[in-house]
Amino acid sequence: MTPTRLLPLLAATLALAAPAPGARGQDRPLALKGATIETVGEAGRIESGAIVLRDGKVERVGVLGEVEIPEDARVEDASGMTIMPGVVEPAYPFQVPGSPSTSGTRTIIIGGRVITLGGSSPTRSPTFTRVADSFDPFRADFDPLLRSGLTHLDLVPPDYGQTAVVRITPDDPDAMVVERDGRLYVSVSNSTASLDVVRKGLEATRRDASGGGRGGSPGDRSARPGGPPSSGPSSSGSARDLWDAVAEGKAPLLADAGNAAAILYLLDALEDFEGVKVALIASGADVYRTLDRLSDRGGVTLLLRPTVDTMPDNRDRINLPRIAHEAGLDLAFTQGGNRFGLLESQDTPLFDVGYLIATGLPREVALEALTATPADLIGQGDALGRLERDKAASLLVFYGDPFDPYSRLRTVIIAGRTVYETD
Amino acid sequence: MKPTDFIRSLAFLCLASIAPGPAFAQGETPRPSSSKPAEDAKETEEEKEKAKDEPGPILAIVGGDIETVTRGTIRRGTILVQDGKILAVGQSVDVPEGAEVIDAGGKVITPGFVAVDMNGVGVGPAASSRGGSNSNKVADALDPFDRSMKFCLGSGITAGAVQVGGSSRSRFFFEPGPDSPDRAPVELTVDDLIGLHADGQLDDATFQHLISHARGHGDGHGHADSSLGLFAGGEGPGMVSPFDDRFFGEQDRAGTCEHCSATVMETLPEPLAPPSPSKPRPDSYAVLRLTYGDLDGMLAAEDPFYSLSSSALTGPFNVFSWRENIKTAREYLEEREQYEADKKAGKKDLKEPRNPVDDGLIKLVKKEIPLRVQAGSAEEIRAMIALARELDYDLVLDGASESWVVAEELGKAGVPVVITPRDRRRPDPGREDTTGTSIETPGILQKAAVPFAITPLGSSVSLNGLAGRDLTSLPLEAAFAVRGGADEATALAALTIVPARILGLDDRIGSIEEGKDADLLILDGAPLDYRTYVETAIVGGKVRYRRAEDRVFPVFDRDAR
Repeated sequence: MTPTRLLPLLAATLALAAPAPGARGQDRPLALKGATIETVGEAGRIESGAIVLRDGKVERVGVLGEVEIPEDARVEDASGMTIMPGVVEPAYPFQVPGSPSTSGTRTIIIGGRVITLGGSSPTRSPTFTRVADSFDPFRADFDPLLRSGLTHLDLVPPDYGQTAVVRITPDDPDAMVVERDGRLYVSVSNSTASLDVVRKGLEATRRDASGGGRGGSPGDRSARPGGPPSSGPSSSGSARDLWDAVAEGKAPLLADAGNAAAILYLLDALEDFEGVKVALIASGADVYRTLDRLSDRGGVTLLLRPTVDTMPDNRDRINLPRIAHEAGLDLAFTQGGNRFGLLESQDTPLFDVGYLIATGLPREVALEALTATPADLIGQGDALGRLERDKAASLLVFYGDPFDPYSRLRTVIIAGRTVYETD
Repeated sequence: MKPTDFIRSLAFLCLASIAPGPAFAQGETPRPSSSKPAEDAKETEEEKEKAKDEPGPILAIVGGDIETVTRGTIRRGTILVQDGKILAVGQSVDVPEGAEVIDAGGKVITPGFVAVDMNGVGVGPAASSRGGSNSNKVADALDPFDRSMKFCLGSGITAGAVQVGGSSRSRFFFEPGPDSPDRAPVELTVDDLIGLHADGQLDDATFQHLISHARGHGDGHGHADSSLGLFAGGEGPGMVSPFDDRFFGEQDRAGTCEHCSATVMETLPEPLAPPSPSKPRPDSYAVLRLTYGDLDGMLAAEDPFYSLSSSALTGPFNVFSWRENIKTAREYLEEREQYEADKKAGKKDLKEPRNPVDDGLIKLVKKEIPLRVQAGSAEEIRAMIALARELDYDLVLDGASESWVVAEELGKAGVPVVITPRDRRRPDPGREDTTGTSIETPGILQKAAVPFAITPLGSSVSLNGLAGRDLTSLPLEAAFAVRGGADEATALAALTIVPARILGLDDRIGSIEEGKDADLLILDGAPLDYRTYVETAIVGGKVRYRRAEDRVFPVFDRDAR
């Protein structure tokens, strides 16, 4: 039985047997006390703390005894446990429904292996896709990711387009989309078609700037509160605005580098645009080869898989996140590109990160790379990634230290509601 | 600013402040005195800008025996390298103060080897779909981190021609999978394959294998085999039917490719016996220098020659087509000339002539690039020489296994050939004296003053245990030329200056001379000795390969055994 099918059953059992904390009485504030709290914010690590959640937000957080616990709160003793912000995934691949072909999956056989057709070729010009326009929360199936501690996903389109931020609240599909107007995402490989997206996109902003008044600054769009999803014709306009924001350094460009060569080409394309901030999705080996260039440029945040890599072309194992951190690069962890790995390692969701810490990556950096840094990157730094007053009450409760392989994930709370619990 | 430039400028500043007026071997222009470290940030910027134009730091390779190829051997010489070029070579060259020194005492220094064919080295998959309506540029499809580059560098290759595109019209047919809605074989293009490769569904080896099918480059295992006309379908007119016994054997039809189950066919636009001469469809090549880790300077040239498959120039119809095309190109050039002259004279209502053929053909007619074509047998070679003489263009012959038979004619015509000394071609029964390959070919060609370049049995880097056949066996192949009677100097030239000339880059690479690109090898022994390894490979003045670090080839002390 798949974890997905297990979940509702599990939830039902729990609800019947013993009311899970937070599952009932959502309107009453919930206070968790006695736990170690990794705030990832200014308060840092609080050894014995208390946190009060009300109306989907963090009302108070601090040292136990100093935090006033409201009288109406349901108080739960979390001594010995560790609370940290929910993991924010900055680049989760979003499959546009039914785009390649509607008639089932086409497969072919090459050399005895069955190969699935579909997807796109880097040699063809990619089309702009706005994830928010084709995302259907009622069809989304992200529930299993909760077991890995992921609470928010930045969904990235196939090749090029605008991302959208969702939270994994399977019981409340209407509220899943947190941000419709996400970041500009582009997948780059060493081919003219994909590179031209970046070159022409940036070139256009320069022409605009020299031509004087630009139509529709990026501020206009985001200021429109809860506007309807933009339809087809406006999507090119929104691409324009997104590039403007990127060129001005207001928003990072989320770039997925196909290989190390693509990183060099990307850096070349960005050479005249020093203000551009890049969130670079790349494999460890590719980053390793281009580390000097990347740290020379600055303004680059690496989105890496939290694993120990092998050095390119040999079998020496390296802790690439640590090396990148020591080279002065900012880090965020992304696990979206490896969904199978994500689901496989669910018994100890942060084991890989723990391994990186054990081999020299500073713990604070690792924590930030899971939470605050990706939240900032996707423009949700005000709400997510840190456990501070008035931020979203999205957090994980571990039985022990999150990075200890023997401690399990106990509870996932998103916007004050318990969305996942182990038995 | 690139890090290298920055380091260069830094190093230069240090050099300038520590050692005022270092003695350069060559009469370099004195640097302006303003090049002092500036306090102001803005000035520093200017300083950096200036430093870009100023000569960079000097690398000195000292004490090695230098095989210059064009100017003999220099015992215990010194080579100075600056800004990627060779600044000075000789025995009495002084090493300027502050120069980085590589001690090559007891070692041999040669120019980097040049491969006339290095399939798939240094380019990403996108390079394969170049040509036709595709907008992909080679300059955007390079992969300076390609592992094959290290293997090439480790065997001495620092530059070479790589095929880019020319196969975009090929169609691949695959069996549908078990649950696929398709019933008939599924048709894919090269682009589709690139997509699958990018998605990680196709591994590198399979991808290269399929691409090589489409190129008609033999069986996809590195060894070019023109007799296997399975997938090429010929350049000739008309659609090739898979049931045409002339092209496809019984086994081909039944099993398609035994390795990948692909049927690859070129979709030709015309039916059999088209009414008008078809346009030639050359394969595109680019010359890459193996500047590992660096995009700058990697692409040395595009379309260094006009490459046609041998079938494009055989048979009366194809030859007729070819003549017509050359004629069209000539006529266009004349019209163009007339137009330019009229324009200069101020004539009005001029119609600019449109180029009716591809740019490569124009270059060929203008003798800017040669025609490169496969010609194995003596008859084919003679036919190609005659055609080239008749239509007046330069010629390079590939795979000229029977060139020993027609060496005199080749020598007179001044046609360079590309040979593989270990290649074997069966003699025709009854004509054993004048057909088939001969081990003595290199010696015979040398005597007849036929310039020849050497290419190994396989044109790609293969890690499938084909040691001694693939691209990395290039120096070994040259050693077999010596075995076949050529001088060592000729054999070395066949790895360096002759291929450089074929690629039209003999002014930049192929020998160690002042002003040429600093693409150098430091070898631990004689260049053609089978025991010799490349210790260090320098491309564009930078070390791109060190045997001890790159672990491509085993590391041990040769003299300790």
